[in-house]
Amino acid sequence: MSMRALRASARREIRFLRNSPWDLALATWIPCLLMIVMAWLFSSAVPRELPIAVVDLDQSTTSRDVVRHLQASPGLTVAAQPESLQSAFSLARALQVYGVVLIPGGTERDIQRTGSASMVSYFNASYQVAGQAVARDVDAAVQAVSEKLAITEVALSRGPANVRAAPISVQSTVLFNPGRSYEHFLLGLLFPAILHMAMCVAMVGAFGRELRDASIRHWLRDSDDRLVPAILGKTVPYFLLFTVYGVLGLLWLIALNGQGVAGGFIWLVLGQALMYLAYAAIALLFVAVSRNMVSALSMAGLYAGTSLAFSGATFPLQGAPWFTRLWSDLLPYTAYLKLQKQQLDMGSTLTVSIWPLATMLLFVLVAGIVGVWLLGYAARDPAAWGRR
Amino acid sequence: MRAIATDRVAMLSLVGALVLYSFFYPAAYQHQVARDLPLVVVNLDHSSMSRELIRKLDAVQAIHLVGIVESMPAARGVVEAGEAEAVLSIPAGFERDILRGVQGQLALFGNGAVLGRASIAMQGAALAITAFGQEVALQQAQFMGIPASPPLRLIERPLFNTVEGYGSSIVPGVAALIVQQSLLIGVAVMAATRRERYGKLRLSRPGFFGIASAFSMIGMISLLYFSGLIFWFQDYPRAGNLSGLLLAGALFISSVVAFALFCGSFFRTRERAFQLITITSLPLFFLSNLSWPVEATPDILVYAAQLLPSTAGINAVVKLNQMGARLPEVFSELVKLAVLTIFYGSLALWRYRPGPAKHGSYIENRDIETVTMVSDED
Repeated sequence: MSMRALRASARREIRFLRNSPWDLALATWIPCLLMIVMAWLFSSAVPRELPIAVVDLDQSTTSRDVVRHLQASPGLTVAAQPESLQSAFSLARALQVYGVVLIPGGTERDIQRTGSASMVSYFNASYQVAGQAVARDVDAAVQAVSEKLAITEVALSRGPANVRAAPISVQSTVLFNPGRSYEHFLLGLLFPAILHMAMCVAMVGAFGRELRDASIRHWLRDSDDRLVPAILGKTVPYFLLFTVYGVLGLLWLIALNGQGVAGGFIWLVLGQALMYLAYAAIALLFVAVSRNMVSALSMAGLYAGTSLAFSGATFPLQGAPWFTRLWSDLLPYTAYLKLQKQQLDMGSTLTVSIWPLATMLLFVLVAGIVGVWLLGYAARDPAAWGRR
Repeated sequence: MRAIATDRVAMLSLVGALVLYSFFYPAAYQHQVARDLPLVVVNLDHSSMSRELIRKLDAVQAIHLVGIVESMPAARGVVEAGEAEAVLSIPAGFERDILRGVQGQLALFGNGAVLGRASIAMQGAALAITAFGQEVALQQAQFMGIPASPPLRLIERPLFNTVEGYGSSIVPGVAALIVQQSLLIGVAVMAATRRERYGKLRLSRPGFFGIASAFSMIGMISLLYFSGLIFWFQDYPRAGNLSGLLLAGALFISSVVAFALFCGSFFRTRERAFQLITITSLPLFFLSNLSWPVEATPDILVYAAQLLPSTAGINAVVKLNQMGARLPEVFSELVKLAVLTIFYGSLALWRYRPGPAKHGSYIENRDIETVTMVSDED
């Protein structure tokens, strides 16, 4: 390996970036800005005070108690109390509320007579995060009222013997993210998502540019005609920049969490570095296969641009068709998220985490070797140059 | 129109990518409702009742029982190895407690490192436990009398997206975003190509409106293709308010085209658009507040996001197509889209203003489709 050629190629790339403010932006302030905007967006961590409407057709002491409990729940705010279910649904369609609670007429009377009454909780399933949060909090508030009623009403009217707890109780606990913080969860996905996409399109630009402008011979001549050091040299500036952003993102997550790293920080850094290298190798492969910068960028958009959806992190892949599961396994991002979950949140042993690390290394090697081989052909074939 | 049709790049991004994405993207969520989430049980009771509960768990669709271990640390190890998303712990004395009429205590743990998955697994387990609880209540009743049912029962009903599918909640919003992003790419490629070839953007008024209407037509067709054909193919909730969707769609597309013409005017190279669009799509989606509630978003970001057609557009399309909203219920989105169209439209007109010297010759070319745009191709 010729370090001289590598350094020369890296210097050439840095010189280019200095003179091309938009290419520089793509590798510097644009990904950083996007990360900051996302960190800001989720800064409230857990949605609070989500608006609901209550249709109280009972207008009794009990129904007013339910409304008070709903209002007191930190996750909810009773934004409206319309007269009819129809007008409440209209508010839901206008997105002014995410849920509607219906207290039917005769609720209090039914409790006093038969010991039990039903209420309905409607929630917006199109806006899932808000809708499900509302449904959960409405359920908790109504249960609290129910328990209170069980002691007062039922015990008074039907005798304490009838007050017996349900035969089974379940205590639910969330491990590794006790606050159920969406901020920690979503930023943990979005930081590496934004960065690997930016890395991939920046690298496609860096390699593709040499073919588009037919400057590939110049580039190689500047690097002593040594292909591998030339390619590595070109990658180095981006690789260092993005690894630094990735580590800053990790530090932000750790600072938010306030619990430190469950596993080894060094493995997370190594994982970040391997992920960016893998996407650089894949970018090289796309350029070398298509020999056309726009086609390579389209491939990168389809491949890296959709990786969050296919990673299985937001929606599980168990039960998914084979194509979806296969595609998910073909993304270095999926492997990195596995590693991040294990080392940042859960503190898994290294014997477990060695697999995602090895997967990413495999991507680097396979895509890298095929990419180098094909780019070598393209470099000798003038017909591959200047295509747009 | 012909210029777009003959430019391979513009064609590829506008039509090819759109069709590709329309099948590719929903594939990630095709199974709609999650099932078979791995769960591990810590059974410290070894009673017939605990075994019965485990059988119940295994029968629930949401859950796949991966194993039964003897201690909590062992179960934690299974979760850390990524082989389970949730743990159910059955303590010693579970059956004895229940037969005595004391509450049997269970503990359910979800992996919070992956919030969505954990809650699905936990909901599935809770479902099985409730069913089991009802049977146990009957057994208890044989010797202790019928327990009181809770004074208030809550019936939960999902609205609009009634199967509560994940794909049907995400993809319609993403579809609107894909239409916007591919129009942005198409327009930016067109504008950058003009700049590369002629060094300037100047367009006659008819030329400007010709290009705008050509792109609007493509945009409208793609939006309808998604909202009709693809949502039908994937069986998503759709066509809640078709005439409203057409109106909002037209306003959305016109605002996107105006926005794209304005933004596109700053591009000097064809390839730049692809790079920027790829990395900004994800943040734009989250800024639209479809999956992160607007109430939890900092005010400044809420206002800034209004400058993007996708914000009002995604919400209007989802509300009309999926939630069946009536026009007054999307009024604010429609106004925002109209304002954005005028705002970016006038900025774009100014960016592409014809130079005074060339103005005369452009006016003669009445047939914009053939003259102004075919000149792109030489």
